[in-house]
Amino acid sequence: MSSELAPILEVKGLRKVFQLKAGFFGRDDGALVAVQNVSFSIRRGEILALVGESGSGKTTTGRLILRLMEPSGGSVKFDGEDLLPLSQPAMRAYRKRMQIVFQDPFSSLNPYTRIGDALEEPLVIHHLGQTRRERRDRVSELMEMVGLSPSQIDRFPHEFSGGQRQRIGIARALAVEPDFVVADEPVSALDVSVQAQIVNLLESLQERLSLAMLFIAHDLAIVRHIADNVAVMYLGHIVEMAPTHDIFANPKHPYTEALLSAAPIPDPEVRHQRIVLEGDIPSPLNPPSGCPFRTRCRHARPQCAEAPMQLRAVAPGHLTACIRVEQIYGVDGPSHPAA
Amino acid sequence: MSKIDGTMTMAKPQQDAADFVLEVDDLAVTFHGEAGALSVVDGVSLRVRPGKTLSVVGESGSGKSVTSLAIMGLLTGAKVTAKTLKLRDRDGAIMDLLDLPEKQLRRLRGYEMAMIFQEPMTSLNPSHTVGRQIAEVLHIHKKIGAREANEAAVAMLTRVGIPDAARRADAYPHELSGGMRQRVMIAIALACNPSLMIADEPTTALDVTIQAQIIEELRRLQDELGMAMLFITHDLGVVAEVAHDVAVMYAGQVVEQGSVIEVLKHPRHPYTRGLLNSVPRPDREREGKLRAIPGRVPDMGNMPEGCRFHPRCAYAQAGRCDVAVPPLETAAGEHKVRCVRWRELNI
Ligand SMILES: Nc1ncnc2c1ncn2[C@@H]1O[C@H](COP(=O)(O)OP(=O)(O)OP(=O)(O)O)[C@@H](O)[C@H]1O
Ligand SMILES: Nc1ncnc2c1ncn2[C@@H]1O[C@H](COP(=O)(O)OP(=O)(O)OP(=O)(O)O)[C@@H](O)[C@H]1O
Ligand code: SF4
Ligand code: SF4
Ligand SMILES: [Mg+2]
Ligand SMILES: [Mg+2]
Repeated sequence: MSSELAPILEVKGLRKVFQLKAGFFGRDDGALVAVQNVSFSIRRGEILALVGESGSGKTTTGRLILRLMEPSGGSVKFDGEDLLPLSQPAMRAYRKRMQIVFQDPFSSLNPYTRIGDALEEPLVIHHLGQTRRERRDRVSELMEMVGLSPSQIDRFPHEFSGGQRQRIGIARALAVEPDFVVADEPVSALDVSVQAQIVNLLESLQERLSLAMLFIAHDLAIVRHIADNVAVMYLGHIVEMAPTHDIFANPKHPYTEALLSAAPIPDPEVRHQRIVLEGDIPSPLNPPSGCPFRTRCRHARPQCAEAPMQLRAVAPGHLTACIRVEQIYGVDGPSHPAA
Repeated sequence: MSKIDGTMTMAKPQQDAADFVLEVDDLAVTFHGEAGALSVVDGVSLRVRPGKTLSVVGESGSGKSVTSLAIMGLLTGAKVTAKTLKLRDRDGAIMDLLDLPEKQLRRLRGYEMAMIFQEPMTSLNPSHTVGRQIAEVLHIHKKIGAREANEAAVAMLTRVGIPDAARRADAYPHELSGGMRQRVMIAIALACNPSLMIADEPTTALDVTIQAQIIEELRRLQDELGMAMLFITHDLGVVAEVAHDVAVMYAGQVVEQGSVIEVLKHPRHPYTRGLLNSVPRPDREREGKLRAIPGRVPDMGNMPEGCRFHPRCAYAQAGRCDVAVPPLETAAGEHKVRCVRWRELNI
């Protein structure tokens, strides 16, 4: 890790509120805070993994950074430039350098566009390749790179399997050789052997092109393998953030601990100790006061409802929002043996 | 089972068909496209026992989704054939799914056999609230009134871990996160307590705590109602947790099948071994680059001769592996493997 380099991406106090309309089943008008005070930075060539509860705001965070959705507050700096005040035309210069691989590959592909054309499109938009011939060669190369056969260049999206479509999404994002990629569950739809190929591919691109990545994922094994740092989200907040080794060996938040303990292990004879979360899953429409995890936390105390959510460092680069971290994990040093 | 299959030689009494909720023999699926006929599933045989889970794993594009859609009778534009394709309903009646008129098939779908689709966004109706979509299924199949169906819909959403379900029922699919949409799909599939659940990557979009919760819920239903499950996933960790039996598919064929212990702990097929080698473990520190299987799955229109895995197999032998498709042979008991070298290899 090159700690002396300035971050390529700096996110501060990011916030997103959705306004909801009333409905038939009893929903009132209301506001849903999907992302709340999210801050982190990523350096060139670095991968930050964003993990956490489904619906905790990971996808929204990724989209806000690329301004595919307008933030309700906060700031996003890319390579020193404040993106949020930029007009959409001014944003265009950054579009090429910042790409996204979508979580749902099907909905991001036009069903009537042949795959070759879908992959050529970003090359045309960003003026890469002089002739059609050059672009077509590049498309074939991209298809090879993600493990698709160039002979499928004229097929339509519905003629591919789920995993194949996901690879098309990856090829499209990488087509323009960006500096930064939001990869929203880029490998979760892939079978394990392709997953391994894509993970190796992303790693080599990261090294070769100094690609920085926000890697949103549920698969903690992959996260442990690929990420430099990990941020854990719960109900719109980052509740813990640390270098990958530290967070796996020595989690400092009860939610992280539960999450890690639930990761399935590919051995039918290993039965691991799982922390089963009980209690009400809170609604983002009506979040708990204080610590958002307190309704399910086995270590919760009355003071957890009072203290405002705030990350603080408990070790170099290791941030947690749990106010009882000292009582639960001890004041200093690891409470768990390194795995 | 096909002629070359080793099961024929086994000294085992004939299994009563009623022992299985789903019985598939020699399933084949062919698409007819611009380039002519494309065989994507070939000679697949599967059996699912009541209250048990059969996991289907395998390379992307190997035909897992097509197999499940064929079983459900939901494949359009394809030719589906099979020696046997039978479902046992909740009253013990055996249905021949290939012979059933579409009208009857439609009644079975969602009621006797339900499916959780791989891509929730494409199977949910974007212009109806999710509560309404669940209520509709209950209304149609269980013939219950609208109000009762609405209440049941909210209860279903709670069961799959959607917080504040009464209010969330009013959400449209695009207002929910990927994982929530997936849980809505699961709720719809579970709504009528089906005899057979076909789950195509049902937990892939979920975080691991919710995944654990959903797996628990599916297991509970299996125990209580004897629901049988065909569970497609590429997550070998999930397989280790849910499966009783495992079938490994490659390029439209089953290449290995057996109990979960046999397949994951004592694999006999080089492809299965390759799969196991390529996954990192959440409980272990990083150990260098992942050991991916080199190459890619062959084009359906351009299958290699002989063993379909041979261009990528580290053990392939010219003259043996590239001449004829290896038969699915019985290694021991129910453990079967499609590799000409399985006896001599120690993988
Ligand atoms: N367009 C929208 N309108 C209203 N609410 C929305 C919208 N998009 C997202 N939300 C809500 O914002 C919250 C965060 O959603 P998001 O998609 O960011 O979650 P996620 O962490 O990516 O979850 P998953 O792991 O399930 O993909 C959820 O409660 C979701 O329902
Ligand atoms: N409508 C169709 N027309 C032509 N070919 C198709 C069609 N649907 C699927 N195929 C092809 O059939 C093969 C099997 O696809 P299927 O969706 O079953 O794969 P899968 O095993 O489910 O893969 P994944 O793990 O990626 O979901 C693929 O090669 C795919 O390209
Ligand atoms: S602050 Fe309290 S409720 Fe929140 S994680 Fe820590 S102990 Fe649990
Ligand atoms: S038959 Fe040959 S090529 Fe195929 S899996 Fe066995 S050893 Fe490998
Ligand atoms: Mg998401
Ligand atoms: Mg599939």
